[in-house]
Amino acid sequence: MMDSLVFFIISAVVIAGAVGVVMAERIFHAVLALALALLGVAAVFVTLGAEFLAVIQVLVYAGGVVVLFLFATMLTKSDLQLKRPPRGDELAPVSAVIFAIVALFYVASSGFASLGERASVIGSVGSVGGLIFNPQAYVIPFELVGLLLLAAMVGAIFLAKKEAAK
Amino acid sequence: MSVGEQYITIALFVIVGAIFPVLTIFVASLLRKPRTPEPQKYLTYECSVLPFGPAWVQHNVEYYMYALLFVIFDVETVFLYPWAMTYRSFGLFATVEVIIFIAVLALGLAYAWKKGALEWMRGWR
Repeated sequence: MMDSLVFFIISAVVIAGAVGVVMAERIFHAVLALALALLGVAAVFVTLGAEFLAVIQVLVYAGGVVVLFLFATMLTKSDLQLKRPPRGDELAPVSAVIFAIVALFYVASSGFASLGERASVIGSVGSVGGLIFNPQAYVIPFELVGLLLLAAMVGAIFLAKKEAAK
Repeated sequence: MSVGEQYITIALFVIVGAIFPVLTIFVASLLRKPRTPEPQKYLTYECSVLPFGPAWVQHNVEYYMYALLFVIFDVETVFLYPWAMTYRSFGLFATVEVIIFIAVLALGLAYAWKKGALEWMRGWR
């Protein structure tokens, strides 16, 4: 009972943030609403017992990615008069409803088993580390993540350098 | 309640933090009557200097480069933490893995350094 109440409150905050992202008139407000939604997702992780994921969510998404978005926004020569253009797309709510129904059916039919109390064990730092550094488990993907980060870093610097040279 | 009891403190903190600014602004609006609007009152307060220009100035690309590198090494830190927690059970093997991981990312840092992404306000080489 208490759990579902907490879940519904947090979900309301996340949805409010998500709606704020698409409805905000100024792009800066949209980024702030995105931060709210991402923090709410971190709270959902906490209620599921996945505290490590919650910390990652705050550290990387709410902390890092949102800061990156803010800097990228401030790079633009956006004047204060910039407003979202009026839209005539009536299809948007329809497609959103269809997507929600499909997602709901998928979740309902997939039969996700509730982890219950085991979630805090599976999602703990120790067990995640045990999977990453276990030679039989995810060592190679872990190193590939390093290569992926390297590629992302080099690519972004290359593109930004080309842009700045203009 | 499967949620840890210690999170009640954080939840209270968030709730109080959300209510506090709203409440103070509401109380201030009660206190500042009578209401006599004047154009000077709506100026942005800036230490006795008249504000000029928009608050939105275009930032330099250096800020973006720093944010970008921050995100990358943020993710690196996320991976170092589980390694520190499981160091005792995996020992040398995991340490070698992490050293390779850090070395790969150090290559990226060296590239950024060489390209002058860490230089401040000096343009690009």
